[in-house]
Amino acid sequence: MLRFITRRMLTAVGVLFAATYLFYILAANAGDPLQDLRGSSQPNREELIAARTAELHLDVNPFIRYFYWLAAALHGDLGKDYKTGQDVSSMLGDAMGQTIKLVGFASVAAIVLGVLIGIISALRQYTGFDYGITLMTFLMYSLPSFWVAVLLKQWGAIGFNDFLADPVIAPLSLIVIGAVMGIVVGAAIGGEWKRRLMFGGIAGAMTSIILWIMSATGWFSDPGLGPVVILMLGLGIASIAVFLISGFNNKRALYTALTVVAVGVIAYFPMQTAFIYTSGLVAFVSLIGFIAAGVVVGFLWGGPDKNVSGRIGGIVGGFMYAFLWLDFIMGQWKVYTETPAINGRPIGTVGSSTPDLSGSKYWISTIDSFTHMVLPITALILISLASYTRYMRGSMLEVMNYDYVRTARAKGMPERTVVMRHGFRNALIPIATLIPLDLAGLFGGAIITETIFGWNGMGRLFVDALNTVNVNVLMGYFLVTGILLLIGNIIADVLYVLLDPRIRVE
Amino acid sequence: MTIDNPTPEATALAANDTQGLSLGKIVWGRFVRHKAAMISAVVLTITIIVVLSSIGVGPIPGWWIWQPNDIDPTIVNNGHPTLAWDGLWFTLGDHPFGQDPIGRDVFARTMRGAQVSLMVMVIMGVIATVVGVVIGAFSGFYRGRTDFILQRGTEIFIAIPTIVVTAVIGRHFGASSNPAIFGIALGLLLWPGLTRLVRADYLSLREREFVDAARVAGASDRGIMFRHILPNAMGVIIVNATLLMATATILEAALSFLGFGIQAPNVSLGNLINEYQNSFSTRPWLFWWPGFFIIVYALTINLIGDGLRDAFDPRQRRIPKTKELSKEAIVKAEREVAE
Repeated sequence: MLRFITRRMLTAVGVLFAATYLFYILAANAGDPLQDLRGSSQPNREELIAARTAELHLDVNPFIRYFYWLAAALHGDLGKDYKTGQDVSSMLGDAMGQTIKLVGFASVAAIVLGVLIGIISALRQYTGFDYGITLMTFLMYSLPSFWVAVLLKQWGAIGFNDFLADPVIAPLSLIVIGAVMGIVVGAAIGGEWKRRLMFGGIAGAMTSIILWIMSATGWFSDPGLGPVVILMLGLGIASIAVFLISGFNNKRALYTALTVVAVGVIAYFPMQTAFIYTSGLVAFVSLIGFIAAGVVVGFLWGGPDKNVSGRIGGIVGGFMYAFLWLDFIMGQWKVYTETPAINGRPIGTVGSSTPDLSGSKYWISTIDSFTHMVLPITALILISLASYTRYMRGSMLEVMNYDYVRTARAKGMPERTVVMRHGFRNALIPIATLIPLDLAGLFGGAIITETIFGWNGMGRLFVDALNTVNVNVLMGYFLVTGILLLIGNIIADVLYVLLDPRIRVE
Repeated sequence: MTIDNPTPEATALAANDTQGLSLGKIVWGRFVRHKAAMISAVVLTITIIVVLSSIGVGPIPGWWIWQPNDIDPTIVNNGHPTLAWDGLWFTLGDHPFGQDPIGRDVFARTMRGAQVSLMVMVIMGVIATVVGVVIGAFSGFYRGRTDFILQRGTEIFIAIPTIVVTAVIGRHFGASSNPAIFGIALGLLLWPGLTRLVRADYLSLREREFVDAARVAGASDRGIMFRHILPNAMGVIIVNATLLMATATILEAALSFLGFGIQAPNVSLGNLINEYQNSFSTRPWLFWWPGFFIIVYALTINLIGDGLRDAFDPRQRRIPKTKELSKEAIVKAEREVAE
């Protein structure tokens, strides 16, 4: 294994060298970095041209100029942006932060959603739900990202803001949303017609009623959850977690989940004070604390399989914190929308934050970046969701036809165990090997989405540099993305071997 | 699901599929049964006929009165689309897709954009497929050192962002004004995905008996690679070449949108969207039509590719309901099972 990794690393260095060389030649030929000076009417034009030529070594042939860059890069100096004089490494740092925030969030959401939809679609193969999902994924696959992004920017933002200015849902919309929800749930649930009709009907009616209450009480302009809703959400998450991981027959697991929910709801009251002093780091540490507390509760309920209870406790604990956090941040929404810089039109379309937002405390600035991320993230999820769904569906279908799944069924395992332990885990292997590559690709940024929504991320940096033929910036970008891509490739291969014991390194 | 005791339907199905037919006929039969793919094929064919015939191709004139860059000084109906439904059929009117701010006919412009996209797509598809298959074949057939070198080369191609290459080509070869060159460039960039699949196929096919048989019969390496193995790898190649073309449509549009693809005065679906995105609030139809055609292309080709995949790889095929099979076939199969 070690030999395999070492050999892959060495060839990766070779590939990287060749690729950067080729890229340098291409980048150097993408345009003329002196163009703005040639057209200028400044009296010292010739001197400026000479100065920039000297700075960028433009008098040297690109085939040799590359080695100037390489020599500096090996000493950790990636050069400067000739326009602004900024260090390329610091530019890359800033851009990467923005990109990780945007694309990272979108990728995680797309992976989770895609896996979920893919599994349900596979388990309901050849039903209306499956066909519907398949058609939807093909449609999403075929959507041009820039078209969707412009549409969201021009339509979504205005529509959303108009709605938030007067947040009342019309009765017809209530009925339509409820009906759609009912049909989706009814189709997804499977089984007998009667059962599907019942569940679909309940889900549809509940959706309409809840939305109506929210609309009538002005929830959208001053949202919040409150302890009762948190309790209900907690019970929901607890039952889903117990159902999927251990089944309700495991009483200790059930008690764990319920205890954690109770602790979370009790924590609601002290947390109201604690949240006022929360910062990003504190919030993160608190989340870990809640998860740890959940695990501990699971271990205390213990029994022969305390790991299962611990896992359930941890998951429920994490969600409880998320609900508490969500409740508090919703409480700040009204304050946020009423600040003069926002002026009642919260959904942003340009940039990653409102420039002159007064009193940018943790909560307000979090809401601000959230409102700026909603649209680009929606665009990114719409585009990347389809491939994960397709992949997961195919992989799950294949796994569910294997002999060991039939064996599991034959020896009387409950369907939940068959799907979750035997099916789902193995179906995740191909996805798990895709993810390192996708996450590596993520650092390249989303060129189109970032350009349209004015995010100063990696993709935007790249396109801007390409437009001005800023070779140093381009090379810095390519070095980072290239290295990550090659590492992602190696990790994917190693992961494959680790996850699937049938595969051996030669 | 594997069937241990074949039901009459399953036997009938198998017989229906394979009885005395060539591979091509079997695949065609399965493809025709794939509804989404068939509908897509019909829609795509109609679209292509309309796109090519409306404004004509090169010297051949079309049936539409306006050309993409003609300016109609009278702005009809404020530039709104005149396409309407009169209860029986569509009426086109003077400018069915509307007019842009300087009076050009959006229908003609969209048609030209769709022609350009189609051309880029076909050129790119052919080139990427040929390059991908040849490199994949050599890599998988010879293995060892050849494979190592070719695969590292492939990795370099994967790493280089497409957009940089199109920027360079646009500057030096005028790809921004010539869609054919742009298509060739995309073709020379997008083969790596196909190469990997072809290589994997060749790696397993080269171990099969028919390859030994061909070698004993005195076939050359090239002969084995392209006359004996290639037909067996055709399924993977056709399916992925199709899917690649759908990707290329969107990629071409995206590059043109960013200004690194086809540029004005040439028209492509992507640069139409780019050109008109700022007038979205006043003339949204300028923006709808090119996007609609991109989706039609990409969606129909993707669905056709999916249908082909099912046709070539019957393991994941949708099994038609019993009633869709002919009665005799079931009766005959029942008799066979009984015997």
